[in-house]
Formats: sequence, C-alpha cells, structure tokens
Amino acid sequence: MMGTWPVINTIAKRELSAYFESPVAYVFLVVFLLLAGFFTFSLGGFFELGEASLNSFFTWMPWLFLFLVPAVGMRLWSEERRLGTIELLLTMPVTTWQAIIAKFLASWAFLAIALALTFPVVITVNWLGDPDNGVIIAGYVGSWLLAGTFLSIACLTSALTRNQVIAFILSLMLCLLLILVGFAPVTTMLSRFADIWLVDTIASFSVLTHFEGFQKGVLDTRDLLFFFSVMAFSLFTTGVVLRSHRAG
Amino acid sequence: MKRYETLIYSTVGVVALLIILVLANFVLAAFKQRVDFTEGGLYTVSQGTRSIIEKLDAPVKIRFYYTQSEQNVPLPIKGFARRVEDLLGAFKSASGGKVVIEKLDPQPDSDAEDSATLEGVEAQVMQSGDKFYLGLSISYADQKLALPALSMDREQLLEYDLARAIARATRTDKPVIGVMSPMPLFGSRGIPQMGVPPADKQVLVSELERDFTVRRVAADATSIDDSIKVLLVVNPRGMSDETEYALDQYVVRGGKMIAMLDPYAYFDVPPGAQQGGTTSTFDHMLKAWGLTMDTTKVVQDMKFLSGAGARQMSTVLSFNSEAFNKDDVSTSKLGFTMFPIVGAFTGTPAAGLKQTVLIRSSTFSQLTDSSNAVTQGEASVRGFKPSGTEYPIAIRLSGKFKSAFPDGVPVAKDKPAAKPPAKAAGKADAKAEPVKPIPAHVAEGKDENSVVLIADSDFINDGAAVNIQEIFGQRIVVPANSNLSFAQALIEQFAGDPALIELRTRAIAARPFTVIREMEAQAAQAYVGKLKELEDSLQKTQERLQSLQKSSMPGAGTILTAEQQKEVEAFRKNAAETRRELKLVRRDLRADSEALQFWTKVVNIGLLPLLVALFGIGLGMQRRRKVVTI
Repeated sequence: MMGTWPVINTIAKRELSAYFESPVAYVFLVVFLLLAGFFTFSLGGFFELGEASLNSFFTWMPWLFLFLVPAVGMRLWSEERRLGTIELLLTMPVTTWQAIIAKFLASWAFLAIALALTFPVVITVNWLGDPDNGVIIAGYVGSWLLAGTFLSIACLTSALTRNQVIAFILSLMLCLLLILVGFAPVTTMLSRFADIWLVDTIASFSVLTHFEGFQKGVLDTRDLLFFFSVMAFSLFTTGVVLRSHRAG
Repeated sequence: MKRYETLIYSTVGVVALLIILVLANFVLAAFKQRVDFTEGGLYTVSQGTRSIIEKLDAPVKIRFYYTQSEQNVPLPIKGFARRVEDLLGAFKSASGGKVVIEKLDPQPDSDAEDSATLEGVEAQVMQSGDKFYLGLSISYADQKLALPALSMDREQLLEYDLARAIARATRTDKPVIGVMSPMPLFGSRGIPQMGVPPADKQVLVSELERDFTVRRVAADATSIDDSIKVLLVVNPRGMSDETEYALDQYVVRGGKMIAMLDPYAYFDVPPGAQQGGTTSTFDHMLKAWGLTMDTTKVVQDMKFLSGAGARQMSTVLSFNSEAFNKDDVSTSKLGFTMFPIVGAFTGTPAAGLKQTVLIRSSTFSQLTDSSNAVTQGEASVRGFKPSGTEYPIAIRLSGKFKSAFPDGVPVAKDKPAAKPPAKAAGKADAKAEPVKPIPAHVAEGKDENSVVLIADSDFINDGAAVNIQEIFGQRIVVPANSNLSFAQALIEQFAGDPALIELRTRAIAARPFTVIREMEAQAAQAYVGKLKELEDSLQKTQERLQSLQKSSMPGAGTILTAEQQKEVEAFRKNAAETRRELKLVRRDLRADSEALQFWTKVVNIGLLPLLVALFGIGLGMQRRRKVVTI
C-alpha cells in the first residue's frame, strides 16, 4: 500500500480540480463573494461605523457559512452514494479514512480560495485608513477554521443520506444549532429558564463563542481545540457511517 | 452477527470519542495559551507592565473577588470576568512568581464577603436587586489598595488600572503635584445666592490623587513651594503680576510647570456670569520666552473639526495621530483627543530655549476672532482662508530659563483687587498654601528645565474628556478620548514614572477613515469660498428687493411703474438662480466623498464576483471547444 500522505494528496488534488471543472463551483464563489460584500457594506454598515476595521465583514461570516458551506459539503458523499461509486472508490488501494480526509481537505482548500478572493476588502480598508491588520489576519484564520468545522458536519450528513437536499438541510440545522447556543439573544432567553452554569456550559459548545477570540485578534488554544475537536468527531463519525454502509 | 457487533462497536466508538473530546476540551482549558495578534498587543501584558513588575522586591498578592456562583450575573459580565482572570494570569506568568493570585467567591455571609468588605472591594447591584462582586485587592508589604468594582466599560484600561495599582502599592513616596486655578477643579459647594452652582471634583484631579499627593495652590499665591514637583496651572484668568512672578521664579528655580492658557475657556463660568469664555495668558513670561498667544483669536481647523452639517464646529478640534508629535513619549501613541476652542502659540523661542511642538493644527486652519468661537455650521466658516500654517497648540520649551522679571519682585500696583474666585468657591482656604515669605530673586536657572504650554484649558474638563455613567450603583468614569491620558502623560513625564505612560496611551485607539476625512476637509475648503460668495450675493439681492418694494409703497395701494416692476422681476429671478446655485454647491460638497463610498462599494461587492464569473465562463467555453474538436 502506498504511503498515506501521497495517497491523500493525489485524491485531494483530483477532487479540487474537479471542482473547477463544474459550473457549480463558480456559481458558489460568485454568490459567496457577492453576499459577503453586500453584508459587509450595506447591511453591516461599513462606512456608517466610521471605523477602519473589518468588523462588519467578520460578524457576518458565521451566517454566510451557515448556508454556503453545507451547499459545498452536501455533494461530497451523497453524490457518490447515489451513483454507487463509493464501492468503486473503496475497492481501490485506499482506506476509508484516506478518502474522507482527502475529500475534506480538497473542499476545505476550496473554501480557503473563496476566503482568499475577498482580498479587495482588505486592500480597501487599508487604503481608507489604518486598520489593525493583526486583527484582520486572526479573523481570517478563525473564519477558515469555522468553515472547516461546518464542512466536517456537512461531510457527516452527506454520508448519512443519498439525497443531497436532505444532507444540506440536516447539516444546516446542525450548524445552526451550533451557532444559536452561543447567540446572545438565545442565551439571554435560556438563562431565564435554566441555571446560569448550564447555559454557560451549553454556550461553550457554540462556534460563536470560539469565533469571538479570533474576531478580537487573539489566537486561543481553547478555541483551536474546539474547532479541531468538532472536525475530528465529525470526520470520525463519517468514517463509521461509511464503513457501516460498506459492510452492509 | 459480526455485522451487528461491528456496528455497535462503531456507535460505541462514536459516543466514546464524543465524551473524550468534550472532557479534553474542559481539562485542557486549564493549559490554555494565547497569541495576541492585535497591533497594540491589546490582550497581552505590555512592556510597561513588565518593567513595573520587574521592579518588585517582594511578592505582590492580588485577591480576585468574583461571585462566580451567583445565579443572576449577566452573561456578558461572566465573559468579562473570564477575561479579567485571563489578564491576571498573564500578569502572573510575566512576573515569574512575584505576582500571586488568589481567587475568592464572596457568597452572602461568607468569610470571603467579609474579607472583600474589609479590603475595600464593593458589591455591584443589579437591576434585580441582587448583588455581585467583581473586584481586586492588591497587597504589597503593608500597603493595601483595591480596585473596588471592575467594569466592562473600562475593560480596555484594565491592564493600566492593575499595573498602576501595583505601582502605587509598591511606591514608597508620592510626588507632590500642585494645582493652581480659579476654577473649582477640586469641587465646590457653590454659592446659591450668587447663582454659582455646586461643582463636582474634576475627574483629572481624582485620578491624580490616586498616584500623587495633590495640593491646591491659591490662585493668588505669591510664591510656589519647592516641595511641589509638578505645578499644573489651569486657566489663570485675572492673574496678578505678583502671582506670575511666583510662577516665573518657580520655573527658574527648576520647578516643572504645565500651564494651560486659553483665549476662550468654554467651561469657565465665573460667579455672576451667564456663560463661559474667559481668557488667560502669561503677560510677562510668554514675551520673555519669545512667544505670543493672541487672546482674541481662536483656531479654526477644517481638517480636525468636529461634528457635521449644521452642528459642525470648526473651533472644536478633534485631533488624530496626524496632529501629534510622533517622537515624544507623551504624544507618540495617543489615540484621538478633543480640544474645545483653542488658541495658538506664535513667535520664535528666545535664545537658549528650544521649542518642541506636541500638538499642532493642520494647514487647513486659520485664526479667527474669538467671537466666532461657538458658532456652528456653515455660518462659522464664511470667509475661511487656509493659512497654510500648522499652529502649535501644545508645546514644550526646554533650556535655561531666564526670569521674565529682570527687576525682581514686581511692586504691587494700585489695581482693583480681582476677586480670587478660589475664595468664592468656598472650600479653598482650608487647602490653600499657607502664606510664606517670598524667596530671594533668581535671575537665571542653573540647569536645563522644561515647561509645557497648552493653548487650551477646556480639554481636561469633565465635559470634554469623560463620560460618567451609573452602572450597578457604581459611578463609572469612562474616558471619552485620550485627553486625560495626554494630561496625565505630561504630568508623569515630569514626575517620573515613564513605564505607566506607555501603558495608558496604548488603551484608547480610534481608527477612522482618514482618506474620507481628508477628502471632506479639502472639499469643504474648496467650496467654502464659493458658498460665501453666493450667500452674500443672495443677501444683497434680497435687500435690494425689499428696499425696492418698500420705496414703491409709501402708502397703501400705490402701483409700481412698469420699470420698477421689471426691476423687481429681475431681482426675483436673480434670487431664485442664486438659491439654486447654492443648493448645487452644497450638494457638491459631499459629492466627492459620497462618490468614493459608492465606487468602493461597487468595486468591493461586484468586481471579484464578475471576474470569477468571467473566468468560469471563459474556462467553460474553452473546454467545450476542446470537446467539440475531438
């Protein structure tokens, strides 16, 4: 059997270039960039805030990813399941895990490209004033990790069903849950019914709570650990699901 | 069978992994590390703090009182308390063991609560009536101080507050700061009979009292005691020659003076007056130092003006980093400051003296009559012509100072005694300097000395520098800008603890859109002249119209001649035209800035999506062509 990394590398590269052969990827990029720009400048009040920062840009990231990342992830495994190509894939000298990681990395790289294409807004804000670029870098790192987290969940749901739409809805709901348990209006409401320590604990499961540090410009190992934990769990479970299908 | 076993095993595996990960997150939280990417290192302990901690000879014990188990503490406060703990941890690791942290939970009627009360940590009361504790006490040797109630509004200054408390607790002596002013900076009960309202103690004075021994100096003192390390002179209106002589000699003997003079002291409302706007200057000293501050003129600056539209005030100057001296410790890292109605220092320093400009206006500025000081909107900028000069607003003079009174003590002239408002304020006498014999005249300083001169006294006033809020029953003071930072930096520079200067000014940093601001300033400057022209012409036309109509109606029912009617028509048309032109000019004023914002939005929202779409289409077409040819 070939070494793990070269195998993953090969598959990932193939997946990534496959993205750009389909019009879907371009549609996704165009929609993502349009919405990101629109949210930042119109809804986010970029100029109205009067501050040279990308706060209005990063505030919208979780919500933007909520809808767009499941759309990227939904086809990862459900397509293969529907076409029946999973068996083909898994008969090759490739372990389930290698395939999962390869596909995940390819999609994560695609999301990284999408994020990178928002560079005009960074140039703009630096030209208009003197923003804190450290905060901006941290924000991008956090956004990329957030995207990876949502993507891993989308991987899981797409492995659970043949139907892409169901995969999409399922991952949307799970990601939404992860956002809401740390969303201020929700936590305030919950704290009326439940003990504070409980609400606190629940909020610590939220991506918003752990994205906050990045928005402020701080890389905290607790936040990194959280994001990687969710990714690890989702990808492991994806493996379990795929193996069970394979066995069955 | 095997199938089921595998399935169960895997499901169990999933659950097991979940539990492991959740536990790992909670356990490893204790070993957290942070990397601070912010430019100001806002979330790490700064160099200034480190240097203060390094000076510690003995351990400093910090007791962190936080009612963690209180049910009703709002979640944002909990987040804040976490960050406070993080910062304390950062202090601890930077200290190598010299800073010891103890965490306590003051539940009602517990020992911890008694300890909190004893150490001066106060409860904060929520709307529900419940109270919680979030404060610190710092002990070093036998000194103990408290930060009684930590507030989220002051979060950015938390490191400063903590480092300052440690510095204070470890300091053995407190330098003496003298404050001389006819204004009730120390607070006063007021004189209801004379219509003088009571005044709160100014925040600057309260802040200074935390680090220094602050002594009140009578506004009519005839000599300044040498035990005063730094003398703050604030708007010394109606100062007599004798008092100016006292200041002159203080400087020549090596005393450090920071003088805030003012051509229009907005916040100084003398007893019996309706509004502020007094003036103060140093008649003799400024001249001797080669400088002048015209007390009838204030600075108008179109780049640093405040407000917008009808509420715009070009005499209230909001300075950003472009106005500050980048090399001086007191100004190099200042955020933005607001100086209401300032004068300017002109002239060349006398031989032997060097001038360092700390704050200056932009070149889009001019000196205007002080009667124009509080006008708002367009009216205030009629006839504005940029001077092209960067007027010095705050300066430091260094060198060997010669006395401005070459003949020695000025002989008391028969002037009507200016009522020293210090006495009128009520509490003055108890704290004023006891009258001492005047020391011998000194003609010239032995060593180099420095004096700071600022052409404004309003910027340190509570009305310009801070916002005071009542939160949870505590009076929380939040700096509105870097004004107090600047004043305190100057004082500390003279009194000698440079480490704290770096800390304080780091905390407040506004980052505006400087490009847009400049654009608007330039546009305003270009159009202001045109506006004035048009408005003058409109006024003239309207006057002529009125006089025509009046002259043709000496009594009721007089009919205008055909010629007069024609004239009236012509004038009406002219007026309408001019009004239309005015509207266009006003619209053009904002046109550039709005165009910039529009095109920025268009480019940012649409450019890249367009490029990506084109690229995708291009690629698609290319591929199709390939397929076809095969």
